[in-house]
Amino acid sequence: MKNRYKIWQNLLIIFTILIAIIYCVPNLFQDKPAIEFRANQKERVIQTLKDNDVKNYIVNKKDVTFTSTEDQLFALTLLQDKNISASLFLKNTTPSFLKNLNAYPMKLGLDLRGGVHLLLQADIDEVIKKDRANQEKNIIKVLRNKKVRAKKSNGKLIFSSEKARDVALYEMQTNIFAFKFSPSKKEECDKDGCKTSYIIDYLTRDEHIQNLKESITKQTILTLKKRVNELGVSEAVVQSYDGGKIAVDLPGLQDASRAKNIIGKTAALEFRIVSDEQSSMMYPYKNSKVGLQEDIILSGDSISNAQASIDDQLNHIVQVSLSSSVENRFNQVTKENVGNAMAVLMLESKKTNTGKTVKTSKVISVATIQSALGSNFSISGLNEDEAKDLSLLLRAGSMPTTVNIVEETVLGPSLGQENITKGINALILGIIIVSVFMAVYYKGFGMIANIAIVINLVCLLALLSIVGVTLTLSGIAAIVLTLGMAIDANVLIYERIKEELQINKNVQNGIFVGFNKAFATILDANVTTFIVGAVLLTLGSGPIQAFAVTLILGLITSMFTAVICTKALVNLFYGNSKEISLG
Amino acid sequence: MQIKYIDFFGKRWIFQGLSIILILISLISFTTKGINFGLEFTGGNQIQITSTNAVNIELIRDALDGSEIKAVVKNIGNDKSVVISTQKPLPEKLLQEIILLNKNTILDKSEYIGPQIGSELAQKGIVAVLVSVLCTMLYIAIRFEYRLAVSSAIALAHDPIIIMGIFSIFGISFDLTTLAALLAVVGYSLNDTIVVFDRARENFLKPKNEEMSPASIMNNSISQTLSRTLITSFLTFTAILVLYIFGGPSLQSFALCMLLGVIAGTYSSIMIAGNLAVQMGVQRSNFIRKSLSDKYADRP
Repeated sequence: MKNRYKIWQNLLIIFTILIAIIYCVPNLFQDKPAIEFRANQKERVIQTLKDNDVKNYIVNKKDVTFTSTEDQLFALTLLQDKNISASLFLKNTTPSFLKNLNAYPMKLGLDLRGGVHLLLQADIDEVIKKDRANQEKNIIKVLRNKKVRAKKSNGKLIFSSEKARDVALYEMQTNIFAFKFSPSKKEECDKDGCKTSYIIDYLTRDEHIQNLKESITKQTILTLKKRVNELGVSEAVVQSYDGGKIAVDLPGLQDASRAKNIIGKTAALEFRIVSDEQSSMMYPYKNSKVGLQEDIILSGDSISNAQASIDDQLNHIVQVSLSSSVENRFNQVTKENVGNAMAVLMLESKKTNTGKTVKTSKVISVATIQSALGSNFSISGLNEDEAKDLSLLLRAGSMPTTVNIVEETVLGPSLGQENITKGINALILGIIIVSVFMAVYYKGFGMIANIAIVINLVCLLALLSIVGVTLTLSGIAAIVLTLGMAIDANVLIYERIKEELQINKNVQNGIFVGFNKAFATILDANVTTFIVGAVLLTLGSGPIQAFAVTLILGLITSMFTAVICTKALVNLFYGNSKEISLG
Repeated sequence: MQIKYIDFFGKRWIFQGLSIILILISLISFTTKGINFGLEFTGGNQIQITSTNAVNIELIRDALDGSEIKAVVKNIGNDKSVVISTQKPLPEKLLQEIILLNKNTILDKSEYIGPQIGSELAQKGIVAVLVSVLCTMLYIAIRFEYRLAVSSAIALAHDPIIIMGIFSIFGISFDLTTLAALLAVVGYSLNDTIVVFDRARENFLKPKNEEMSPASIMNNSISQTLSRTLITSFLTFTAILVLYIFGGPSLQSFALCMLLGVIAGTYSSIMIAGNLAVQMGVQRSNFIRKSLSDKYADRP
């Protein structure tokens, strides 16, 4: 019995297919647009929706679901007009027994659902520049502490004696980790004789820059996530890419200008001490200017909370809470500066019409430090609006650096709907046409190939759901391509069997050899396509990566269905046949 | 059904001449007409609006002229959808005004790509194509023979050049999804070539083919796999044609690129790749050594 799978082999195939079905089924239950509200406001929500003739909705305990995004958005504006706090989300309708198995539907990409996509670029160079300036100050501090004199020029420290240099070198190496210090000496001769100067070159360590980059990106992402939460989009994705790029995807969100206003606010906040010295940098404040010291005593990203409020004397204030990591340092600095004024400086970068980035900075608040400040303090000297704005800005988290929008896509829900409907219809129609051809051309064997395609589709959808791939238009295209490759595998096998039967009339032998020989070809073809997919995955971006992931997973499932499942079915139906017809 | 053996090698000059002419035309078009790169590569701003009725483009143009913003306004697909292309994003107010110019109009899509992003994507795309061709060449060289690797790489490069040539000549927009399609074409064409080469290796190694010339062995291999190649290409072509017709405008450029790719890929793997390998002097002994070393490699 050549063409027989053992029972356990067949069971394994059936088991795999069953699992695939379980994880594929949730995709039949797509998410529904919904609005979440507080349970105690249910009556008001129902009343509002009824009064305004909203149709096709289902009210649940804490949410209401709609059939279309338009209805959902319309209802949201109605509720917001009535001052009912509500937020948009997508309600998962998967039955709970499937959820218990961790089986969820695939997420749909922006191009299939509509929404807003923003790509932001954090200005990392600016941070590196600032950090270098700070680190250089540390060098001067260290030298001053040790009372060593040195001339500083362009990444170099020049000492007059070897001893002074070595003392400085030791101190700096043990205290400053941002730089790599390398000592050298240089002899310069002129007609008066020779003079030796002792030099330390300092270079910023690569790993320091790397750490800096990572922490800035992390902080920016954190801030962005906070801001995205204020938008009330539940499935927002914030993701970082190379070079300080961060993508924000807000599926379902339609109001791009609002999103940009909140997310794109690139303002960074700095707390600095006001300086009276003539030499200090002047910044605009209200209608005049104010000089500030260079040291940043606190930056906006260390603030954990901020609320506008009123103090005992009915002055408008902003109550600020700091994260514990910066508390000590802030306490120390403010203790040294009691009686001095502290200013809040806002830095913003804007693009002009000519495409140039212009950086503006202005002081938004100046207040006197009354006492050493701890983790909770308040900023006074504000009017009501200023207090509100400042608290919102502080709460929403300020960026550690300026951030520009470099890419922006807004896709209406109707276009997304059109894309998915047309894409899937075309996919199904394509499968039908191919199936009819296979059934006519290869008869029974063609039907087996068709069953294999359906299994392939089920397995691929299951795998995509398990891995958590977001389905996009290019993903659908990749599915078409892999189905093509799966069919190709069947064609290869059948054509090979046909050929073998011309040489040797023994049907079972023909099937056996046909499968074996075709398998080598299929493997080679799939490995090379896999290589192309893997290259795309590593080097590509966005839609290309989505295409590559789907292609790679599709190759895996098509190997399973076109080779193993087809063989099992051929064994089952033709395992004992003495005669077969293959077109 | 009996396999017909066709003398592909004998007609190699016709095919190669045709390919060289097509590649030359493509290259000339690249330099004279250039490629109509999409928004993702050039950077800029694009807005698509759709109405339930025909959109009055002149109204939109007038509004834009009044604001002194340079813009290109065009219909896409039908007269109900309009695309407005500008260098910078439109001010929010102006955008709302434009949407209100025509009745029942909604914003379908608004896209802004910074200029820096665009050039980065283009670079990444080119690198991805080159690296994938190199990697697959390496695989073929190891698994088959270096002459086959080189000839398949040439057959492979042949396809995207001609497709991009056609895109260039007709001024069809080349965007990111088209690039994905182009890479899929590379994968597809490679698939076809591998099937032929796989059969060639098998035939070269058959003892009874010892006396046969490399050209005849290659002819036989291509002929034997011809029915498979044509059936698969036909099926893939049909499936993508359906995608092209019914998949909606967003998938159209992808489908078009794939359609051209299936034709070019099938042609190049039948008419170009095998013949080139024979011209480069591939013969039986190349494979025997290979399979011997394979056997040794298998030993512990």
